[in-house]
Amino acid sequence: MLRKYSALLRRAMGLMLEYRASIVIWMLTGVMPLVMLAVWFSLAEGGPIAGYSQNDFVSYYLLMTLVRQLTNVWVIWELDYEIRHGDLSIKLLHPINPIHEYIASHLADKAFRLWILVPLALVAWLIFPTIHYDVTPITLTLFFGALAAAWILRFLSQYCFGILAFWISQAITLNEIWFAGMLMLGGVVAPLDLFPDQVRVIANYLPFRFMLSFPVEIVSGRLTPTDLLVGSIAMIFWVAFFVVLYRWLWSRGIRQFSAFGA
Amino acid sequence: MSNNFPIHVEHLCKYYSVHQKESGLAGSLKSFVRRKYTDVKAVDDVSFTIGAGEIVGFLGPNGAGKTTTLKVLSGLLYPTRGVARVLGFTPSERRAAFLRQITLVMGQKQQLSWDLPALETFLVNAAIYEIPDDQFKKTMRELTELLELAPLLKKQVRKLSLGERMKCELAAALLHRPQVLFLDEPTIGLDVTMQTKIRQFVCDYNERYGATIILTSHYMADVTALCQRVIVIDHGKLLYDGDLRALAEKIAPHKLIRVEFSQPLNGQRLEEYGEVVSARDQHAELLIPRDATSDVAARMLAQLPIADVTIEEPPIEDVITRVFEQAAKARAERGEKDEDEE
Repeated sequence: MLRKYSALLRRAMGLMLEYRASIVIWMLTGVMPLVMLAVWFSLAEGGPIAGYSQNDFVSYYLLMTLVRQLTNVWVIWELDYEIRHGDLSIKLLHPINPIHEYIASHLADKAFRLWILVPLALVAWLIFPTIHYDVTPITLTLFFGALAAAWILRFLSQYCFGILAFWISQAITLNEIWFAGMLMLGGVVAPLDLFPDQVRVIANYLPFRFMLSFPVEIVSGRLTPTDLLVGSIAMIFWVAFFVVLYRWLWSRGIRQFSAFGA
Repeated sequence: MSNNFPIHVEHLCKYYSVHQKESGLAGSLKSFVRRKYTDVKAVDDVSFTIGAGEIVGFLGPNGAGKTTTLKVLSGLLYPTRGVARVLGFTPSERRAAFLRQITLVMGQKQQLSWDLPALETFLVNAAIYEIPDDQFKKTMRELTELLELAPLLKKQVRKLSLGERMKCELAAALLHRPQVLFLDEPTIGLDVTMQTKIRQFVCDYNERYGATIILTSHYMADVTALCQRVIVIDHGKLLYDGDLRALAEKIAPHKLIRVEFSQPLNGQRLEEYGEVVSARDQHAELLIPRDATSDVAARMLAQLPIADVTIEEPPIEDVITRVFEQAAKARAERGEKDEDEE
């Protein structure tokens, strides 16, 4: 599998370099957290909102931007197209599950983004030297685990929507609704702390939180050990849930495939 | 034992459920409220077996079910009913061990990465097909030689000509030395020289590796050059399975006699020998009933000033066209609708 992935990654990196300009442009579309930062920053001028000072908002949204950039997925656009146009046939003929080819191209994209994001993060730190995170070996380990889980959740959930293209022609639209849910309840529009209690109680257990917000929360220093534990369990549950859902949908969808267009 | 055949198909059916939609907004609304589904029988009760090392031509008009059959055999489609076995595997299970031994080349689909050199795709395939390094190098050398790939390997695929691209596609599809090849229109859109090269390559590959091959093509020259045996399907049904030449004998009741006269004919009428296809100057072509060929030829030699005579089978294109005409007529007599299905 290692050999397969290194070959797939090599090709994906080659393609990334072909399209380097468009990736930078795509990255710009992921800056909504910065827009929200500007909004909350000015709102918090008169004093902290629900315990968030201006500096807290800066710390929160800068990291949120980074997490969003490093967990972005676009697999549904490819999957939906390839299913409906029959191009999936090519991948199905290979003795490897097509999901690995998609994963490899996403990983290559992440490697490329890191190149750009690391210097940018350093610049941001110079501009806002007061940003602070709760960095301990435990929170750092949890952060990276949650970051990986966030990407897996975003990838698998979008993949599941993509598989629906075996049956329906509007799979992408459904995914847009899901995406909107993530912006609302994943901590982009506002940190979950700012939501009314009734909403927050539910949002804390929905998958959206673990698609973006949770890694940021982990190093925010606002979670109790119990919160961390319960959150981690919920996160693992959702990852397992989407793994099972993906397997089930895929095995059903593939029977539906008509390989049109060839 | 049927299992000794690399390809074994028994009562295979593949139906598509297609929803019908009238054109226009009203049609869209109507189909939104109540969808009408009809079954399209792309493959309908087809059975055949193919032995190791055989090259079989798959003939049929557009929408006959050729491509669907190949897709079922390569594991892309689940059959609706019936049995398909390839190398002892059930294709639709898509086991890695199965996929590593077959290939499907589609003239209209490509696996090469458009923006990268073909070599990059070859390297990826080497990895995902788990081809050992030394075997990869050896196969690469052979394919480079047979297909004259050397100048193409490092060029971006999008900068290759159609023919060059097809050669690279073939190489990518054969790098793992599959035992069973499904070639769906491998020469489509190529010029005659390139067609000949691809044809020769398929022939070489078959000889070198003893591979079993099913080929579909709209170019009869591909089929006549490569296949002794043909399977003819139309409207999802198998019409003929057997020797290509026997098909001509079975279907075309005539042979073609071509004569050249040593001097212009004076008044002798050709009509009494057979159906005159063409006659000008000192050349003529006549259709003679198959059984009477030798008698008529002898009579012509005796009675006419003949310089040269050849007896030929009618062109295979005509024979095939005839097969489909007869099938259409038979369907019409049974009262079936002649719907066009792609």
